[in-house]
Amino acid sequence: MKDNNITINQIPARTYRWLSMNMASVKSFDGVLADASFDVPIQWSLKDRSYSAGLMATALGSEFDDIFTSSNLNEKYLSISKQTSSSQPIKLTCYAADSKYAMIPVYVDVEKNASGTMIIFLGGNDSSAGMAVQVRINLEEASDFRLVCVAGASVDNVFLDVGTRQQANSSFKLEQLFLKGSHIYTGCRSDLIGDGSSFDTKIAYEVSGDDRLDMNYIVNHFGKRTLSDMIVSGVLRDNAYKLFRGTIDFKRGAKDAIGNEQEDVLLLDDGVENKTIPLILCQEEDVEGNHGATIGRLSEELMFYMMSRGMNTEEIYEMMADARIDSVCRNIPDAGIIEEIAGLRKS
Amino acid sequence: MKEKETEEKTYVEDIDRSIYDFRYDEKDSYRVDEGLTEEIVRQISEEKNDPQWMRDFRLESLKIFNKTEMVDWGPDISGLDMDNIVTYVRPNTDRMHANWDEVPTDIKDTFERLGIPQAERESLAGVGAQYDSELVYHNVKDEVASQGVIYTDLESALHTEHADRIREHFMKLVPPTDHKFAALHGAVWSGGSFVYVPSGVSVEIPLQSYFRLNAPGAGQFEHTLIIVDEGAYLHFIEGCSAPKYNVANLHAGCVELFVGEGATLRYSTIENWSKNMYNLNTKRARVEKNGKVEWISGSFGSHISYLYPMSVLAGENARAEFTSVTFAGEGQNLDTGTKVLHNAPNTSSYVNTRSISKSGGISTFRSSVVVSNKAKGSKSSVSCQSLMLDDISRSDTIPAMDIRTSDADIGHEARIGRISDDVVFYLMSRGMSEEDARALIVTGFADTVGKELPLEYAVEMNNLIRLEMKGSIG
Repeated sequence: MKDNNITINQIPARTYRWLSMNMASVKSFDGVLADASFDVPIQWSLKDRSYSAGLMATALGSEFDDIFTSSNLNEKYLSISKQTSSSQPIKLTCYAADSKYAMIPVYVDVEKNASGTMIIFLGGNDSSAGMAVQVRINLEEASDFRLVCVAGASVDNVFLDVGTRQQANSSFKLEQLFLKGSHIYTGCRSDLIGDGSSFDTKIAYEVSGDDRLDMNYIVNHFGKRTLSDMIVSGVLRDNAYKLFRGTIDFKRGAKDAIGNEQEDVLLLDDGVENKTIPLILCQEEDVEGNHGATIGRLSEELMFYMMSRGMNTEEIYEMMADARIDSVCRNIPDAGIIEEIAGLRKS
Repeated sequence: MKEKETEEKTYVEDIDRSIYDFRYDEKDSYRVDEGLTEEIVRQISEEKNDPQWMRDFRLESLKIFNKTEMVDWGPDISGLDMDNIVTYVRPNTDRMHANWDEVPTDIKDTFERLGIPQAERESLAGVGAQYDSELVYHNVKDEVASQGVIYTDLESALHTEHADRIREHFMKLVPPTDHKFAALHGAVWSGGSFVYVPSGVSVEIPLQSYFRLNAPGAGQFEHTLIIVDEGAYLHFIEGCSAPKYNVANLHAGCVELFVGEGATLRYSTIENWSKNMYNLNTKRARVEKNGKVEWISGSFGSHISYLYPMSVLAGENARAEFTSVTFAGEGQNLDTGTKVLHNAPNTSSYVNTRSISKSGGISTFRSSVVVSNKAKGSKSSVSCQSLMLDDISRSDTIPAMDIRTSDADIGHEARIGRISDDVVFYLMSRGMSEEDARALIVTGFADTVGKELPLEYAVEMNNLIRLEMKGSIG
């Protein structure tokens, strides 16, 4: 760790300072290129190239980029040719070890009409280690990309940063599951530049003990008829802390754009601290933006129904907590990772 | 099919401010120098004949003002230069009156044109009228006063038997350390009202204070302190307006409301400052066990507004309701919303807001709901809806929630967008023209506040949003 702090996860429009939601401030660090495993299907090309911060904006922000720049790392550059589809996912697994900060910069180029999937699994039990992953994805016209991330590393800090830039009719799906990590800082910024492009994300988390999860998701609607959907659900236990920042930003000219975000949080213990700030910024009249949040207890109607089926309060809450994780977990296209998740949840 | 961009837009006329935009020359009035110095603060204190503790309080507030940073998160207020603001202007009358006939003619004419004496006769239990920095008229009906209700100006009350009660409450809810403009208020406050409603007394008809800022380049810093004791009820209405000048005016008032056990206070505001006004007002209520505060707020004026009435739910079962409409037109950046702190068990809050922006206006809904770990069994529901009437305006929603107990039920929803084609279609199928259908939808959108106001004020508000529809969006 370094002595200086960096500012990350800033929201595009600030609010009252005393809420401490505008940004996160964390200690900077020196990292090394991670010893990560990459399984790359034949349709993809993988090569190393030097990291360049200016190519695409991401959610954690420029001070996070600076750490990659100053580390002089090569990034993993993945590309898939136009009209090509890969049914097998790219699989990146990394286990933190040796008290080091493992850094993984990835740049993905999805050419016109191409499609693919990538799974990232972060594991390990070295509490003095850390991980910093940045994935930048360029989606050309009518391309399609799905990114699945599972954070299950019992380490000090985990940084998981995603950015996309999307051309017309491209589609990006992001599924994320956060299970372990003393401090997880994560986010995604998607620039929907082309008309008809879309961003669809589903996030589930279970934060317990004294762990902290700090999130920042930003969708910039530039193109006409662009779509965004953010569904976030999670469970907080013990003394866990979670901050969700979600921004839908309709830029002028984004006619007929639609953006939705929804967060459901179950709070299971009195020591938890739950913060939510869902923003809609709008400079275009011809749009629809919705956000909603439900926080705290389950509804009385649901409780009544479940109890009439013979369940007690604790069983109901545990079942609903499992359901939130399972909603993301069951769609992960890798049986090995689903098994690892089951093991992590039992531990 | 026509391209949407080429179609004629539904037109919503801007708020008609002509009834507010008249002025009288300042004559024989007294004003301190522009800017803010210790000497000016001492001068104001001298003018006010402050007790020593208040003089010390002002000077301490000035120190806090000088060392507190400007906010860095809201609309740009760099056009507000405190060196150009006159913090105290006393109109050409040396005392407050209890009879309109004794008020100087130009000031009386001002309030006549605003309809205040008529409103007092027809629908109010008491009226306070402030002109620039001083209250010029204050009166309360005998039958209300005979119930023990105190409604008077704050400054003279400081020299009466109410002095200790005022000292106990003054700027305790909004301390000068709260933010830079609270500190400014603490240093230069002038005018405003003190209301005390004794236990069990229900004031059936409302009291009203009206604030008029006539002097160009001046600030108005009135302080409203209301204490509603156990089981009592009060509806208090606040109105404000100013003529438009080409220099910045500043309003940095402060409202502190203390709602006792089982008491209810409804606080209604129709704000229509001129478009050169920086409205940096602070309002806060503390609600005790089984008490309730109801905020009704219509924000139509100002160049820049920062306005977030806050409810501190301090007693078990305390409740807060906040209903507001904001209309931001050309040259306006209105940053409004509310803050709620749930700090006791089984407290509840309900927030329902509407905002409309047009002609380049910027409307921001900003809120915070904080539920502490003491507030078990608490509930909160926040609903905000925004309507954009053209594509040169801007509308943002920035709601924040900080929940620290598992035993809470918090819901939030926000919607932003256009007039629904489905609803227009439905109304047209019932025989309305498209223009009328759209006018009805926009009027109904803002009606959440109107229906909460006494009839006379609802009519005034509806006159403010005078809608004139032509053409169609289709």
